[in-house]
Amino acid sequence: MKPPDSAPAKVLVVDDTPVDRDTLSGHVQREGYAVDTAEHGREALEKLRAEPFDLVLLDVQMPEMDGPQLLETLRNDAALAHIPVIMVSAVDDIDITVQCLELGADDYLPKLFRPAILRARMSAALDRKRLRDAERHHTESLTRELEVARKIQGDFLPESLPAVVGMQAAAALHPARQVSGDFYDAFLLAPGNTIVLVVGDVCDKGVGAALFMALFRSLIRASADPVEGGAIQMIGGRRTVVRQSLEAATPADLLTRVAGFTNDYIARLHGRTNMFATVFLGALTPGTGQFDYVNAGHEPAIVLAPDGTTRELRPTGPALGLLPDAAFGADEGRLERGHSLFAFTDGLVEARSPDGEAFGAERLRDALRANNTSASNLVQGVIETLHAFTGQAEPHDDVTLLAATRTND
Amino acid sequence: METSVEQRGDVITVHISGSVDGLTADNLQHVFSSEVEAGHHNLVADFGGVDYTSSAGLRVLLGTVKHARSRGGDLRLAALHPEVLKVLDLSGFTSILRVFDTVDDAVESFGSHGN
Repeated sequence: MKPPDSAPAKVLVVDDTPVDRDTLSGHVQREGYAVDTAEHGREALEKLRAEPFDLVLLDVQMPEMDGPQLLETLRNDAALAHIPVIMVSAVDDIDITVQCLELGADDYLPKLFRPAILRARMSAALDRKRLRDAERHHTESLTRELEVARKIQGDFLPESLPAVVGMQAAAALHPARQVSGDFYDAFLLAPGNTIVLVVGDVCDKGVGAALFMALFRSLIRASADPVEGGAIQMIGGRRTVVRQSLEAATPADLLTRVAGFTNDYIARLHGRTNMFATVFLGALTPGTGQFDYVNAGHEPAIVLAPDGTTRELRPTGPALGLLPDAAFGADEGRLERGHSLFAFTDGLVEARSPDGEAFGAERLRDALRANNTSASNLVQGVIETLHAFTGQAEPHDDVTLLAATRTND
Repeated sequence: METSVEQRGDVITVHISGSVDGLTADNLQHVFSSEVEAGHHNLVADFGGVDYTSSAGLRVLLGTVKHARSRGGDLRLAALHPEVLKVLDLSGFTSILRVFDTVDDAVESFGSHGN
């Protein structure tokens, strides 16, 4: 699709009668437009497919392919459907003219027309086309930009989940739009036998939430000083001192500090935006099964036993970013062998079926129980159950799932 | 979503009905900001007619409570439906905002000196 420009509009006059064709072309040229002609439908199609035209003036009555047939062909061709068509008809052709209008012709012109009427009809059709073209061009640009954003955002999610002996992990993130406000993360803490699991949901949707997704995820990772890199490692000589103090902390201590740091950073430096995120932070040591967690205003995570019983890991503090100096508590548990930790965002339980029913917590628990063989089966099974439930209904919110199973080693 | 504003002494009550979501949140934000800018910083949000609020609505509450408190006032909530209260509770909003069963209770909580 060519970008908008100021070259004269190009018009195709289609008429099997040479006299009518010449008369009409002459008038169109006098109005200042570029003209080409075609004798019948087939020739018209060839010319329309060969070069860009802005308008077609089409005789309703023609041998071979008549007006309605040509119109249908045009409207069914994605490349040509947007070209306005004005039917040119004699007085007794009113029925066929109406048929053409119903098939998608934009307007009609009587064969015996006044130049002023030709001018008005053409100018209206061309203005409409110009506006539609500009709108389409604009939408295409925006879509391209969002596609770029989507790819970059993918970089803010872990390429793969860390492999730790005694644990299997799996995750899925399905954005509602091209960019997402949800995120998940998983990384090892020094000395490498504890894994931190993160699931977060930035408030709102769209580009704003997506921008903050990158920030929240980065602050959490950087302040946790994971094994493979984080801000602390870059602070040159101070690294040893800081690392020592972090290593001395228990996982629970670390998580409350990560929550506090991230909360204060957002609340103090980005308070004007009123952005916040609900986040579940878990630290799991697969060797012992010990886990600690800080749930900052987030949908409760679920601990799932092989027999199907569940335990909820409820909020231990507010969402991150509300007010500075908020207090975050931590809680803990032990993940036995064969048990799983499952964290997710509310987009999952709030997803709607075409009838408007919510997926809900009970359906989620049933889906978890039905797929309780491994972390990847949990994630895949829940996603499949969700998609079967929502069918063709448009997703309303981002959906994120993260499962970690302590394996029977 | 519709709003109506009522004044009792130096307390402004904004009665809200409908859903507070991405489409309507800006409108609600504007109602609150205008009041604070006009010098009315003791605010009550009547949620009696609100069946649903999304995180866009929560952002409005966050922005408004900070704005009102920066002027020496406050934003307090009244008459929340159980589903809405649940959302506010889970996300920790009830730990930063005072919530009341009725509008009268909320208005009275400001006392005669707007405290």
